[in-house]
Amino acid sequence: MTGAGSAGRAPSADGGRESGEVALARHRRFERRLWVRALAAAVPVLLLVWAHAQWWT
Amino acid sequence: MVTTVLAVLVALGALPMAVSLVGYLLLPLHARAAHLDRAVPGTHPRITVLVPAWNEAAVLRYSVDRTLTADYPPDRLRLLVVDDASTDDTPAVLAAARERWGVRVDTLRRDRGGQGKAHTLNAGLERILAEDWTDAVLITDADVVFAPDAVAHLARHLADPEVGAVTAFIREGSRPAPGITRSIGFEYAAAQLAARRTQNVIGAQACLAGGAQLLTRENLLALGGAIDTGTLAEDTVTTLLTQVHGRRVVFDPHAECLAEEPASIDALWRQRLRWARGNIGVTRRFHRLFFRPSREHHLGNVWFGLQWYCTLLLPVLMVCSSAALVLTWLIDRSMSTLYFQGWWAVNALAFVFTTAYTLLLDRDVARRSWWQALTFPGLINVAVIVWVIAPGPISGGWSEGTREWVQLAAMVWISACMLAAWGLRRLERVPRLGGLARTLLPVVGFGPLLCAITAAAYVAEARGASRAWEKTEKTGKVAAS
Repeated sequence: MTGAGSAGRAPSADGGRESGEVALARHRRFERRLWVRALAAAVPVLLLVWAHAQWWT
Repeated sequence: MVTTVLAVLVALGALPMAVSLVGYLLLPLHARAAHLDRAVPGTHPRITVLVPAWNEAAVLRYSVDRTLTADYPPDRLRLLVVDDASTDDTPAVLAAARERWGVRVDTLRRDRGGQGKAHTLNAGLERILAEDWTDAVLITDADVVFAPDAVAHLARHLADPEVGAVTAFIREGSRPAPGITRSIGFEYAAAQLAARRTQNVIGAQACLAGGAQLLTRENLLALGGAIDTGTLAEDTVTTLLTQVHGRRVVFDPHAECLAEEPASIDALWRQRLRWARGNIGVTRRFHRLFFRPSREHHLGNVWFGLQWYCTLLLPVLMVCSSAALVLTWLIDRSMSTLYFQGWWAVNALAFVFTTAYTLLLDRDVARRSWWQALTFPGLINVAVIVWVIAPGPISGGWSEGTREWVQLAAMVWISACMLAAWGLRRLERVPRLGGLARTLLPVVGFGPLLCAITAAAYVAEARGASRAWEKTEKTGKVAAS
């Protein structure tokens, strides 16, 4: 329904405690890896700086 | 002295993007501040979903069934729809829903409608709180469609008694999705998946999403058992009051729901004008909270205050910055070039980083809205960014005079783009030219459009324009997806 979503949805949960725990573990993992996304987002910034140095004049 | 003042004014224009950049840099800390460590799966308080409805037949048919089929114990999830004196098929749709769902669907019809969302909600809250059954109330909108696991994801945070309210990620869900709704999709990702995560990190939330706010019974009672009716931003007032009373407000980015958002410039303008005017009122009422540390809450956090005021004062900052750049151009051309390039360098670097990070936070938004993300400042401003970053290949062959005049035009455009956005709204109202206005929006920019709406809110407040509640029309495009 909502596509992959922010954390990539696992097969539909059935409301039971176990599936809720699996989802929670997945969400915690996603949050722990936010720094990887920060590094990836820095790549275009570095490209920009490189382009600026290259074509400044 | 004059050049120092001008330099400060120019720098103020770079402040909003700099503050936003700091917020994004704090994002990785969310791993420790997401409240997921205190969330307990299997926490299932008795929840009543409260839906205010005025002429919502097109969307209620679908959203009621989707809400009640959530992955949540059926005996602990009910729904109360408050019909705000609808004149369409809403009563018939609700009667059919009651027949299908029995005691799980309750309805309440107000004889006198049109007073606004808060009044409608209060009619429902009065009934809900009069009985003991409900542990928490999930306030939503008739068009909002929750993901099957969203209610359970929200409820898991209520295992922590310090939490007074939890909010979800509202995803723009119109299908087919025209350009404007795709822009809103990107904006929602930036404003929620990024900004509200940062607000979790600092421990202060600015606003519970109006369409997905789970409030504990204790919190509602502490708020007087009712939503504030004297504001156009009742969800923001609820959010701030919850925290003032010492309760925590949590954003769960993994609890998702879909909502239908405006598909025309005019509809967006009317919706956001209401929001912006509401926020001006909230600022008047709560201004003493900002930049003042408190033992009860973190609303006095410096970054929080800067983010709040940068959003509210963005049009002023842009006009000041633009005017200061033009004045510098008139006084000292080489100085103006330095300021101009510095201003754009800060904004360009922050824009690229925050845009890339936002798209990396959500694959769905990245797939649907990458073009709207790239053109968020408008193609003209993007062209200026490219020019500032790589002037060699672009203006290498220009004469000094040409370069200076193009620079002046770019300086004026920083504020003139808001006028152009206002012009697009007027153009959209001209018969047969609405499509042209929406086509030109990426050239002017969605960001400048939002900025222009905030400026229009100043004008409306200064003129004392009517504060009548103007509902955003919903047509059921989420259900069609």
